[in-house]
Amino acid sequence: METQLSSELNERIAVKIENLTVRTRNAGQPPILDRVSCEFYEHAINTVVGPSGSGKSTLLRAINRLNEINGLVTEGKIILDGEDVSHMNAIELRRKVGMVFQQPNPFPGSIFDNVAFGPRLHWKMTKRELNEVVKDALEQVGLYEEVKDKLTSSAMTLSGGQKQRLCIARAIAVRPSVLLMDEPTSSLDPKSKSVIEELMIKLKGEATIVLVTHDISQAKRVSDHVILLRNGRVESSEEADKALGYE
Amino acid sequence: MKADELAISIASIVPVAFILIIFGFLVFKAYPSMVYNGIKFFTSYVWNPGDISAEPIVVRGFKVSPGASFGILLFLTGTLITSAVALLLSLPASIFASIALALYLNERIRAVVSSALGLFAGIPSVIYGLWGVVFLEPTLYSRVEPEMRALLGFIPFFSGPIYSGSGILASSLVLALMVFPISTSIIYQSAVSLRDAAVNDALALGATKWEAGKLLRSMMRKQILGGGLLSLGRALGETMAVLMTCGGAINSMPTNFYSPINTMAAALTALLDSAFIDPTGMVLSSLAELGVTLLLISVASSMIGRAVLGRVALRGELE
Amino acid sequence: MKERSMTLRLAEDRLARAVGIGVISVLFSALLLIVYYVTSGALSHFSWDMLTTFGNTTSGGILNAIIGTWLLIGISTATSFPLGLVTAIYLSEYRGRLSGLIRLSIDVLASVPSMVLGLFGYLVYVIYLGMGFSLLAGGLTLSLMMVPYVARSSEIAFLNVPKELREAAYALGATKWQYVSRVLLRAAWPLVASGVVLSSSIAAGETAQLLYTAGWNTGLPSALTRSQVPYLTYVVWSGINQPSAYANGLAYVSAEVLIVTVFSLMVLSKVLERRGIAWKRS
Repeated sequence: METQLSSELNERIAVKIENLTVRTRNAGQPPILDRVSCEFYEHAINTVVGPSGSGKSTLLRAINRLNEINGLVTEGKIILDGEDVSHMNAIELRRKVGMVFQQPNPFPGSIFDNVAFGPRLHWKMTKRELNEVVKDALEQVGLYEEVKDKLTSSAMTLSGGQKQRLCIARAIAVRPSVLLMDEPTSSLDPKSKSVIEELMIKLKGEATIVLVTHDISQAKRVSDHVILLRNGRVESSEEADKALGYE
Repeated sequence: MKADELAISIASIVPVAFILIIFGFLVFKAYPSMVYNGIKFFTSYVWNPGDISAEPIVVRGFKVSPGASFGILLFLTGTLITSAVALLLSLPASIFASIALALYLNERIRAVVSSALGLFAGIPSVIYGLWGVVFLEPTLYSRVEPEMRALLGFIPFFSGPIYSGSGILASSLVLALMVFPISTSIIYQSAVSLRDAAVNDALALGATKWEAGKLLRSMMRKQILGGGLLSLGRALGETMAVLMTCGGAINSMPTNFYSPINTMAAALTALLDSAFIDPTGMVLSSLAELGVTLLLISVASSMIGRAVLGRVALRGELE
Repeated sequence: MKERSMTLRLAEDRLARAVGIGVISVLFSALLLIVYYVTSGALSHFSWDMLTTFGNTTSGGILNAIIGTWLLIGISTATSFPLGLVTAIYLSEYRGRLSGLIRLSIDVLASVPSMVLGLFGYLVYVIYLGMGFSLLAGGLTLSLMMVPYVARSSEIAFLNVPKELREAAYALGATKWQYVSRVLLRAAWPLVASGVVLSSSIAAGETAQLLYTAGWNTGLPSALTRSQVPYLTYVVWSGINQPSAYANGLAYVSAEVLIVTVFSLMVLSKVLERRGIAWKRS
């Protein structure tokens, strides 16, 4: 169930989650996600809110199958653009689905190398093409003017907010259709927070955004759709309304 | 309260005192050799105690047997070659193994390998030597060295006579085996601590584990250098295993990869015997100078390695 | 702009995995090979007499060597333990102005090659101080090697003690020494013991240092000084190069006893370590 805050109906569904259950290999423990079903809409900011420990991050990581790396067991179906995610090549999947983490974690190396990392993995490009891709990504996140003279300097010299925008640039450089954002602003100062919120709204035109946040006011500011997760289950829409302060 | 602090401070000075005493005493003992042998000590490979049955003569104020001449060039060269080959073999292996452990293998295997490395490191040097003598050397002599000569013989250093199984190849291999647990332990720890920072991000961008591993390796350059230096420090001091597999060369420089060789630590051990029957004490003095040289090089290597690594080295060495 | 070949990337990935696992397996097998060689050699030459009689390295048994090794472990541990412990206490609790210097010395001492320590031991203990080849000379030389290990592992042990304990003790009015002796050591002893046991396992396997400080004895040492000591590593070293098959057999059996001893000490060390860390978690 979801609450439609926007007036646009009949939106296309980018990601459809059906009866998703994620558990640890330890048979005795309760599952982290328990038969979750929901939908994320294209060109929208789909927000997942809920108390800590409710499984929000795990839900995100199920979409790009990062849970596998951590040894978690997944059951159920996730459909991305009509394809079952578990039948896709994991590398291909992760190019199509970008991820931004809570801690801005640029690779040690230059700003250019950070953004270029993804494109270099997947494509063979000429120097000019690569420069274009990097410039494009940096412009999209609004960093290009700030860093264009120091592209070769270390990414570690950037401020917290700049680092996170760099990580977003790094993620969108490979042109994903879905962008997963796991509490991207929780370690940032208020000014950087709002810069990134504006960025999210701008980016939803290019990609589908799935945002996890525990900040309810942020959810109110940016969301088009909200899903409330509690104890690994999707709660009813009345709860979601109440959580956001709507009646 | 002041009393206990005083007592503990005094007791803690003991290590400092010992370092100074060790170094001081060895230099003191080495002084006659430094004066008598001069710079030739480092440029000559001849180690000749002279005619010890004859009357000692006096040269530059010190008693020596006639014809005595001491040079450690052979030992220096041997140490250099064996350590270099050992590191060349074990460092890349350590890097591969560490990345494989950190990225490809699961918890349980990691725990097993970790314990195994610990055991590996605890095997006494003399037992590596034993294995070297009874297994490695015959195998090298009968199979490996002829093969190697057949394959690589076009390079001068790899052609020529094969004297026996012992020599550069045998001692370098044993050394590589002994150094591997240390370098792997250090590099693996740094891989694990860096892994969480970068690897998840790389994988989320669509990297294969190998591609994420390459990124990880580029992040570990400092640790790899530090681990290499610490391993070098350990290799320099390795005595028994090398002593038993090196072939005990003396007074002749190696001519090819299969030649017998000697290292500073092994030579020091082997030659100390001969000091007992030397009436002049110059042999002992020269050995002390050899000891000082070895001491300085080993300490330098380990201390630089430690500085590069930061104090991460602590755990790695104890394992 | 072309796509990089996915098959190539996946093939590379699989190859890297194979190489990594290959390397680990090869080296694992080398370890097993060593243990296998020693054990099979020991088994094929074994006789109970070897473990129950004294001998020199070409006949008789290795009981004297076994006892000698333990005597050496005893002396070296007894002398290195207090020194290393006190140094660690100074570094972790008293933190005086000399801390940097002391830590540097410990690191330098740890990097001194064992044979250089052996040479020093020979020059100073055996000759200059007149101990001759003896238990004391050998033990003190080993002790020099062990002090850095004991100091470092004790320092880590102290770090593992939660600082709340220190704060609580001082809040109750304890002096520094009272805290150290009554609380810290009691809390940290498993990890400290673990480090001591580990360092003694290294001492058990030493050879080069002992060659010129402990000598050899076909019986047992009669005093701490001027009486030579037999030890297992010597039997391995000299026995394996002898032409006589019996001597080789003694070498193998000694090697096996050594491996069992060293591995047992290491396991004991690990057990103590787990106990020390488990305590912290509780």
